[in-house]
Amino acid sequence: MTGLDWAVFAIYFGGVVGFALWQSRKNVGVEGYFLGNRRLPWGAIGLSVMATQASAITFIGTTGQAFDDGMEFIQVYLPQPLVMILLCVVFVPFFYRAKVYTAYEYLEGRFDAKTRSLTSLLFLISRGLAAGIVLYAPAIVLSVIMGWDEKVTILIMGVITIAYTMAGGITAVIWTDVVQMLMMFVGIAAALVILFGTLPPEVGVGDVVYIGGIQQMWSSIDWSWDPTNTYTIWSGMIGGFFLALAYFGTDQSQVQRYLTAKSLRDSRLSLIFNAFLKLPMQFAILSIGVLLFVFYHFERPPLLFNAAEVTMVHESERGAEFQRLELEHVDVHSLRREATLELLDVRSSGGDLTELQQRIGEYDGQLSGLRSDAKAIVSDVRGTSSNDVNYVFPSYLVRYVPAGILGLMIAVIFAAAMSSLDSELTALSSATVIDFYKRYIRRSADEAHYLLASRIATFFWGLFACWVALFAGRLGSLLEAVNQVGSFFYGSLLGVFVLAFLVKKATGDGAFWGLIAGMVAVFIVSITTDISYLYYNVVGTFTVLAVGTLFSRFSDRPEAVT
Amino acid sequence: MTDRTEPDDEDDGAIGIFPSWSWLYGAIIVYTVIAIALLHFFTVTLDFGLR
Repeated sequence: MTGLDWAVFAIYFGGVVGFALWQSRKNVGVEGYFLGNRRLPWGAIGLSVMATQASAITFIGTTGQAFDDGMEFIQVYLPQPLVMILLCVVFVPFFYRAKVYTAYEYLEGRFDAKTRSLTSLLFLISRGLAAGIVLYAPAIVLSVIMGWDEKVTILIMGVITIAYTMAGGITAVIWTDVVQMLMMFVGIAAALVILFGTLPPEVGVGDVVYIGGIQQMWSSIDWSWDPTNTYTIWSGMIGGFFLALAYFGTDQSQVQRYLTAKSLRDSRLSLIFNAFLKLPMQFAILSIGVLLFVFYHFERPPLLFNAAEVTMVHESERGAEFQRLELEHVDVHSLRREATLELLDVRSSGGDLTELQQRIGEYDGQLSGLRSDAKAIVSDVRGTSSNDVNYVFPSYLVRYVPAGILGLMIAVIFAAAMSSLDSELTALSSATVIDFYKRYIRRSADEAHYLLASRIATFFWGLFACWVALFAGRLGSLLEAVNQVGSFFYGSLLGVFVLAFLVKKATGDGAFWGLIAGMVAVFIVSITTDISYLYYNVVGTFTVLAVGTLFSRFSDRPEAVT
Repeated sequence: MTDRTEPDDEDDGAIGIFPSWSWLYGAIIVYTVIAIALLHFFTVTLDFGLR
């Protein structure tokens, strides 16, 4: 990085911290710390909802996935607008009118203390681990790409985020999320413009679309019914629907956001905002990956982008085999480059493209096969699957992006990570203090005491996230890892809330044992079948509903108060 | 948690350019259908492979 890059980077950090502290000056008490005194505007909340979901993994992992597999990942996001409707109609009114601090607090009023405590505990475990992965993802990638020390990167991001979250609470978090989300929009736009700018001058938009289309990279919808196929329209619309409903409807890091609105109407509008913006944003991010795929028709990419993995394989007993793949990759890429340039000539002169299309398609297939073989060798040597997809985009940034812009893009990756981490820290802190400390340990104390406890809890979870990040080194695709961790709990948590909202005769015992049964069912399905992890949420939700309803019917407990 | 409830004044009145929440929700459903149709259109028309 040049001096200009560092200057951009420093402005980002200074600006974010200063802005966070300035915005949080009006916070009063625990309600101010966790809910911004319920007076935040819906536009800011809406951007914060988006920023919380869009972590650095979104940029790093999603672009890499699109580079390898095209646009198919967008199918997971297709049901999100519909999910927002259901949230607005069913979930938000229940939470908002109950005047709760956490989503799980609602469950004690509806069911009992043990259901509240178990759901909150599951949230703390799953979100606490996810917070570490959110921090780890950009740190490990930047350490390989930029040569930065991984531990130092984790600690810089972690310490700064902990500091402003501790000081300013949810108000600081939401307003910094606004800035960070706007930075992400700028970053996405800049990446698309820069990618077009680094293509050869004779390559137009139509050529880009055409070259991507030869390998079906724009293919976004897969109508096949195969449940073992991870991304299809059905896994997206069914599994993705339940995943999104569980995430936005039961995860405290999202529920807390729309509880900060000054009215029910504003809570709903913050989600509607997301309903309209999320799909175009995700489409743009995935397009970056496809553009990278096209870009590397003209520039030679490495066989694998993760230099650390490549070095590890070179030094292993399979090093010679890997080198042969690299040499073959160079040869095939040269042939594809020549064929692609020839195709551009023929296209501009209106000639027949059939033979060239076929040749390029074959080369694409060969290169893709070589990359798969290389990843298999890495998996064999490492003992875990290759996470090369996370290195594709950062590698491009370092090699091809001009000074100043590189600093901006790296700051955007940091912004994405920090905007997710800060939300998770306030959510983890609120669940710890409201659902456990205030509920079981210190039931009555003054505001100052709980405020101090809240800041200490934020600090603790920040340290925990850093600790997880420092030891999270052996995961595959980070993107899927985070979703998979969530999928073990999310569906069952959603089942409990649906039981609370829709099944009037459901009891606390029914909800509690339904939740246990849901998680067991998901675990059994995960180890005995190959179905897409997106369906785990469906299994969890329906198991909780079925077992919870049956158990409630046959248990002797009186009907719960609604 | 309290049992306090707010008056449900949000269900009435216009929401921006939409006459009511129902219209807004309807627009979101149409938006989703159009998005799927558009992506399907891309999938079919931007496939230049010879397979």
